[in-house]
Amino acid sequence: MLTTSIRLVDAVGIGLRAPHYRAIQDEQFGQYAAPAFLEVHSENFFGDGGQPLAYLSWFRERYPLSLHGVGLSLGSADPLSTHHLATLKRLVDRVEPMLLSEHLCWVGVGGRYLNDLLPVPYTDASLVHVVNHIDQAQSYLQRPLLIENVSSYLEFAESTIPEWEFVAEVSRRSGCQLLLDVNNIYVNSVNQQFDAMTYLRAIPVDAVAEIHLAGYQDTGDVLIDTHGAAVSDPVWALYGQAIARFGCVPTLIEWDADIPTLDVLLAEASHAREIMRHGR
Amino acid sequence: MVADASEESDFAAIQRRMTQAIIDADGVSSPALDDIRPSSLSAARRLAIYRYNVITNLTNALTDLYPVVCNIVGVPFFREAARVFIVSVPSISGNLNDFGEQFGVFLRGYLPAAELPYLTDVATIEWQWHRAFHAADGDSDAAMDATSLISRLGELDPDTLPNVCFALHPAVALIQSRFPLFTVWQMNQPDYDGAWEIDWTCAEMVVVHRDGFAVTIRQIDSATFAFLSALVEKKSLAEAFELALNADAQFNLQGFLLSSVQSNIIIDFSSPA
Repeated sequence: MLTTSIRLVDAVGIGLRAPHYRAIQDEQFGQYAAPAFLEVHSENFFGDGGQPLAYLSWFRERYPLSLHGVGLSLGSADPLSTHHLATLKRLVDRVEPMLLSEHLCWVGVGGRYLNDLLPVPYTDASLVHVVNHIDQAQSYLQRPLLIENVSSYLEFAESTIPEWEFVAEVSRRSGCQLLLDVNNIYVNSVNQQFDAMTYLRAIPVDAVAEIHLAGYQDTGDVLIDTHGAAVSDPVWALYGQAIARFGCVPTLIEWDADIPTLDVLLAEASHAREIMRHGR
Repeated sequence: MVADASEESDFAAIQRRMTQAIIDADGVSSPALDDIRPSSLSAARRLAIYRYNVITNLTNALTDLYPVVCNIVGVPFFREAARVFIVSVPSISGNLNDFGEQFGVFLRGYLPAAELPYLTDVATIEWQWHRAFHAADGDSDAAMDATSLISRLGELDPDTLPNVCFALHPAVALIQSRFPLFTVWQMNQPDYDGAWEIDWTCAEMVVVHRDGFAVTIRQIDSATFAFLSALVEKKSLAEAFELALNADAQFNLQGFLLSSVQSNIIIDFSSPA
């Protein structure tokens, strides 16, 4: 089995979504370089067979692949779903991804799923709980997970630990690596009024194994992490700071709503690569 | 290190209250409001963002799953039905592709749709389309291409032939309706250019299957339905044939088998030793 030790230099990938399958197969990259890796949502390939898995095999043969889960619900008060874990394991064994990631969030509770990435209260108790779940998942999957920080639109009164300390501590205690979503940090810094640099400085340098970039929507009173727009200027600036601190970590452009043509996505990837290489 | 039991339950309680607040349309008086740290933006507004995101995401998932139902009732009607479904029938999986199976059954009891009793059957086709799309490929070692399967059948001892059991492709699903289901489904396809008359007294049956990666919906007659239903129940060739003949004395077994094997509905058979 391949491991996460594969280190891609200057690697900028894109989130692989169905509308781009054909364009990537036909290498319609225009003036841009081919993506260095592709990332898919794990659950979209949880089926037993059919076209989705056939496409995935095709891409897996030609590109390093990252599996990004949205449904494991590591932060839920519920026990982890053994069915979900087993299905994920089957997929991991099938495609041997370069990277395997999940979110620091809960997706449902009491057996009822909301299928959204919801923030956990940041307390000593929830920290222990989340770390236990990550331990359980990592030992079942027999490989390290990358854990991603999520966007949020609220703070819990119950929280006693700043988000950045919580994220750092999750990594220290569980040994998981981090998928740092720079857009989510920026969105939260505006919504919760903290300094995004404080966040970056709290994250252990060696823990960051991937960075996500995406676009948000500004409603006037809050920033919404829509994944439906180009990466914003302040997020590019924060990304430059992240690269300065964490090095040339594999970076992914995510775009899930109002999906543009492939060249728009590749232009974003090209911009990220410029920042990686020249710090601007 | 073990979490303190009372703190652990606080943590669960916060998640339960937030879930309830997201699902309830009236989040204004929700106890979850007190869980949110006061700030410039009201707690109700913050919860409303999550409610909007959750309902929109699940509604979009249903819209992708049920394009024909949506086409029949129109987008505003569909989105309202979807909202009522989402709040009343919990999603029970972290995999969004598992969501929505009960939408057809829900529509049967959804009063605003009472005048469209065939919607449930249309939704059943669409769920089975989704299931077939992700179904296993059915290319086990025992399976073989159509030509060799047919020639292997031909080589069987005629005495054992009646006891042969056929294996269906994992994608196959059969749907029997009291309504002209196939006609309705067909008329709501984007490329439909046929006639617009419909005989509502006509009860139609369909098979959902997958040939390669292409999911296909086909109308079948009652004898074919009887035969394939018997195979679903693992009945033998002789039993299935008898059931098909009961439905239609003229049932053409050879022609049916040939086309079923060629279209990948029947993918294998086993004969008793």
